[in-house]
Amino acid sequence: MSNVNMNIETGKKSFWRSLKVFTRYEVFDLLKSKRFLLIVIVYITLLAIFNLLYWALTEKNMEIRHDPFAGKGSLDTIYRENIVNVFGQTRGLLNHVFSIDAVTIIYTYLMLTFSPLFLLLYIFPSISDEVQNKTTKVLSLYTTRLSVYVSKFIAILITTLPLLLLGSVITFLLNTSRLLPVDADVQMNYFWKIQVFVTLYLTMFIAMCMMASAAGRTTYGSLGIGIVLLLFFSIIDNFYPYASPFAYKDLVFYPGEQIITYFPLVCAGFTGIFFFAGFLMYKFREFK
Amino acid sequence: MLKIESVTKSFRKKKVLNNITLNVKPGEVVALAGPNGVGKTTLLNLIAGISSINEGSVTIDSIPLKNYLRRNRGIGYFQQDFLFFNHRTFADQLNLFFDLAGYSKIQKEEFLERWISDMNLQPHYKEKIKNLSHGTVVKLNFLQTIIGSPEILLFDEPFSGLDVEQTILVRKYLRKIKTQSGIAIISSHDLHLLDNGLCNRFVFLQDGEIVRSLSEKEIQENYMTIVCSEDESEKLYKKLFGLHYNAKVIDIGEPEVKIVVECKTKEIKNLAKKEAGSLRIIERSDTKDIYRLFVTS
Repeated sequence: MSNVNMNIETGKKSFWRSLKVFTRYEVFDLLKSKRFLLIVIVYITLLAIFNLLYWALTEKNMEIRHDPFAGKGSLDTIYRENIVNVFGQTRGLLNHVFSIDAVTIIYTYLMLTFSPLFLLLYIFPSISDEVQNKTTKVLSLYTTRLSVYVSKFIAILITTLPLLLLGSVITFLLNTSRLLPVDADVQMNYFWKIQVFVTLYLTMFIAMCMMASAAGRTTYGSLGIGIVLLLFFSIIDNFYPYASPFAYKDLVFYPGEQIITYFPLVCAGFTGIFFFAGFLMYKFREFK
Repeated sequence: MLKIESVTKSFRKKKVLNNITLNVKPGEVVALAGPNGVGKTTLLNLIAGISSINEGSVTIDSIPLKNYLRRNRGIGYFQQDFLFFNHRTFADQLNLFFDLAGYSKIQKEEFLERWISDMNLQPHYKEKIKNLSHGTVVKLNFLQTIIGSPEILLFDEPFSGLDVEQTILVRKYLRKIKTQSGIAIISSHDLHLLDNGLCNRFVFLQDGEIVRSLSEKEIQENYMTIVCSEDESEKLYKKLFGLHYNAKVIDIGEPEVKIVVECKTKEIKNLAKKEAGSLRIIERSDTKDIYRLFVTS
């Protein structure tokens, strides 16, 4: 038993230090978690299925037209037909804003449709787990709840967005090399615009899922709230277009210049509202 | 100086704490005692800033608690319900708090060198928290409480699950707080471990209110315990109670019973001693006996 030698000197709290430290720990925790592994497996499987299905559909259409060596113009017609048949979208998609090969757009559209659910399954325990296990009570002594919330948000962005963007890159490389021998610079330019679009769109949903996670006292409660929110916004989407974050995925097909200009603002607005609401719920969460 | 003034706390409509006022000076170690559900943990949560206050105020060195906590890691809190990230290892958990508290590599090593061997924790350092024994988890809880050397330490049942050696170590640490002008508030049912000069003050809670706050000196001067048979106790109780004394017969589960007597002054205590005659008198009552004088479970 050694002598107890304690120097009492109060440690200063630092928001930035906590943010850096906690984000690092959160990223490693998420990467090691089972749900991350699960989401990677499901995501890659869907990525492969979507690509194969679309390829198969395109090949079939080309065979019907007896035009296996068609150039870009003919393929555009086939893509447009596919889009009309599969998604019920009537507008052309190769225009001056998002002109990129159709497979990538289709992949993007599907990803935008399914990702909110993936994100919810990935994010729902992030805050509610802290609340359920009361670990927030310990963390509050070392750092602020704002720092914990922001760290978790950043950690989720760091672990999810590269994965989703990687899917786009794979799809892009697979399909453009096989189907569209067009100017690579133009393709890349539009490709990056789509990546920004996807990033902003998904950030909205990450903030929404974080809010759902903060709203529940238990992890399954949060999952329930998240599903209700997704359903609610899906319904709203049908009645009040653009009052729901879901509506904005259609911009891949309707990329009017004006809407694209305002899209980042709309995303920032939705993200801000969801983030702030979630943070307030977490900040004022009472523990007995 | 920690000042708690007229603090009230309710959960939904149920009042858990009612008009609590308590001042703790630097160098003081205060014991909180009371039955389960009386609001001890809630009071500690309020001081730690984990729960919000409905009415009243808490200040530290005249700075409102909120402002104090925003700037300082000034409060260490040993929580009863062992709040850990169970999927992490012992080392990960400590490292997280070291990093959050801004420890350098050298400071970390110094801390570990000082505590890990003392607490016999080397074999568990790389183990996952969910696989640790209760005693080891208590030790981890203790270590994460003192990281950053906070000025104010709150302990909620710190001795539960500790072996004799570790209990002595923790008591030693708490004694050190007194000499280094720190503040500690300890909530525990093991009142005998808080006795013998460890705590300067005992605060007894009942139904969310402080029923008595007694300094060591007051306990020494104004309380005594008389040990007698059950038959004798009845007579003596009638003599003592209602005159100048507050007294209670306590069943200790043995053939003999104890009568705890509260006397307003030293002189009254001397009178009570005369009344007791040849019966065995304990000059300085055990705090657990005094607890039973004021608190009913």
